[in-house]
Amino acid sequence: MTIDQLVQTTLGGLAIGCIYSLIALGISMIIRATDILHFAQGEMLMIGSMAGLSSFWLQGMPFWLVLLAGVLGGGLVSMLVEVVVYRTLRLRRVSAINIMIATLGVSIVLQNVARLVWGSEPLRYPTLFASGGVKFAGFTVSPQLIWIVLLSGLIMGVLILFFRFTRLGIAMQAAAQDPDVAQLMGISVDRTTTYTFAISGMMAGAAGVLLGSLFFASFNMGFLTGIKAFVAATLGGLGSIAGAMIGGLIFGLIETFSGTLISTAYKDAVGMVVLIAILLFMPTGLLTRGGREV
Amino acid sequence: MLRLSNVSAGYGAVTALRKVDISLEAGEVVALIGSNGAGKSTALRTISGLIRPTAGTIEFQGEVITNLSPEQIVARGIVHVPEGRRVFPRLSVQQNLTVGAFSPRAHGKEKATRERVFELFPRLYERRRQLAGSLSGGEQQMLAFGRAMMAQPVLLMLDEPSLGLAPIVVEEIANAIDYFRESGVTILLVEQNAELALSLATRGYVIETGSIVLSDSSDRLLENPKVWASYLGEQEWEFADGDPAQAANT
Ligand SMILES: Nc1ncnc2c1ncn2[C@@H]1O[C@H](COP(=O)(O)OP(=O)(O)O)[C@@H](O)[C@H]1O
Ligand SMILES: [Mg+2]
Repeated sequence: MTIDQLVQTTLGGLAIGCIYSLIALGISMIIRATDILHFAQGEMLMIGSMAGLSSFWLQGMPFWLVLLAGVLGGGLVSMLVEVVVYRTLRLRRVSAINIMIATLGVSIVLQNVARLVWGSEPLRYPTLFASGGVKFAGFTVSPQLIWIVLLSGLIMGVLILFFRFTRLGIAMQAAAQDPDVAQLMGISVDRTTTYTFAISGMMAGAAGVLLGSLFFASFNMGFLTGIKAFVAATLGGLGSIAGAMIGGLIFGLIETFSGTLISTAYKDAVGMVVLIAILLFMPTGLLTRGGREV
Repeated sequence: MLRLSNVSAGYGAVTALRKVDISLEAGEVVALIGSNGAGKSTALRTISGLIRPTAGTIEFQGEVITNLSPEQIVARGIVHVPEGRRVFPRLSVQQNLTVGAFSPRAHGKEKATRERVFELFPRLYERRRQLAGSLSGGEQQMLAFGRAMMAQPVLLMLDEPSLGLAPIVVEEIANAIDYFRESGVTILLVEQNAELALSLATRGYVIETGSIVLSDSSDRLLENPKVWASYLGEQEWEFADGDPAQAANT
């Protein structure tokens, strides 16, 4: 592997890793707030990707509006499933395990709806970024990858500031740590849970536009990506926000390097080997959380 | 200002409160004492809306609040400090205070009240950026008080604030309760430590297996042999064979 290859592979791994981080963050936020593993998180990415693409078809929108459409699409659908499906199940005191099975159902339903609306063929994404290479420290790199890393970093930075400094962000953490006491402080836990799903969906939606712009969009693009993001979240320590970010990046790098060094044909399998290895040797992940906490 | 009439409540099939009548006048400090499992916490949870009464009505400042949500009840100024302090462990001291002021009624006074909390509990100021989970038990209780102050209580309900704390901290708790009383807050104080509760309150209720069995002034409850036998008596062994009345004077 030449130095140039090394730089290219690292950048590619970081870019795809950022996309995993965005989805893994949502998975971790949801598990913190509700103790539910959200299997339909990958579908929020797919919906975001499709919503972005559709907005481009309709209006030929500039890139940032396509991204906004993806964010809104993912956020709205995520919020809708939470309010209509998961909240109803919680109110009926359905167990967490059964709600998780329901999230698998939601994942399958959303894939089929998407197949009806957008067809079963992969859809080409428009070029959203200037395609020529840019010079960076002596290497010619793809501006698209740079943009993905920068935008993801920005989104995650805003999320951290939101949780640390805003009244609502702090209240959402409180509700995740101790829902009963949060209620005593006047926080509606139903509402903060809905916001958690909305924000998770928005991040997945953004990831969908970014991922689409790298490859293409299709009704089933969220399935494997969602599982990989779950591996990333587990790698970082399920339920840890910082862990999800780091886990995503590490997983993206492992996958991309194994694709380059071994074979792209096996890169998905490598991911699953990583998952099993983590569960065997590091069951709590890199960063752990204690109970229902940050 | 607060009146529970005939209130029953429970958990599923378990009835934990039976036809309870409690009333508080504005500015009073009233104790609710009883042994472990008597239903004290359940009474507070029912008032703050965490559990719905199965019968009876709860009135606050002339308004029926029986079926309001916890959020709506906090918005009326009823603030409940739960048993075991329950600060948010992975939030900083400062963030815990922010959560205390979450209810819209508290937004306007947030900054001024935070300064008052820090004046009253300088330890909290020193540790304002630390995670609440890293504080000592006494400091966590101070934080729980501070968080309650942030909510601008009209009625403050304290669930066993002295539980598991060193005597020196218990003194600080008494000071904090005095502070609330002096600023005109009505207080409902739940304790297993009947002696402490009755020394702070002017009146008290005694609850046994979900029912109020006694209601009297603190002085008379302290002298009541039945109260001695059930709630102050457990401390008798500490005074060997001493006369209970004498023990009360020490
Ligand atoms: N979450 C719960 N589920 C079922 N029963 C409960 C629950 N909490 C308390 N109880 C029961 O209700 C009764 C009163 O409990 P509680 O109000 O906590 O008593 P106290 O605060 O006076 O110690 C007890 O018999 C207790 O076992
Ligand atoms: Mg109790």
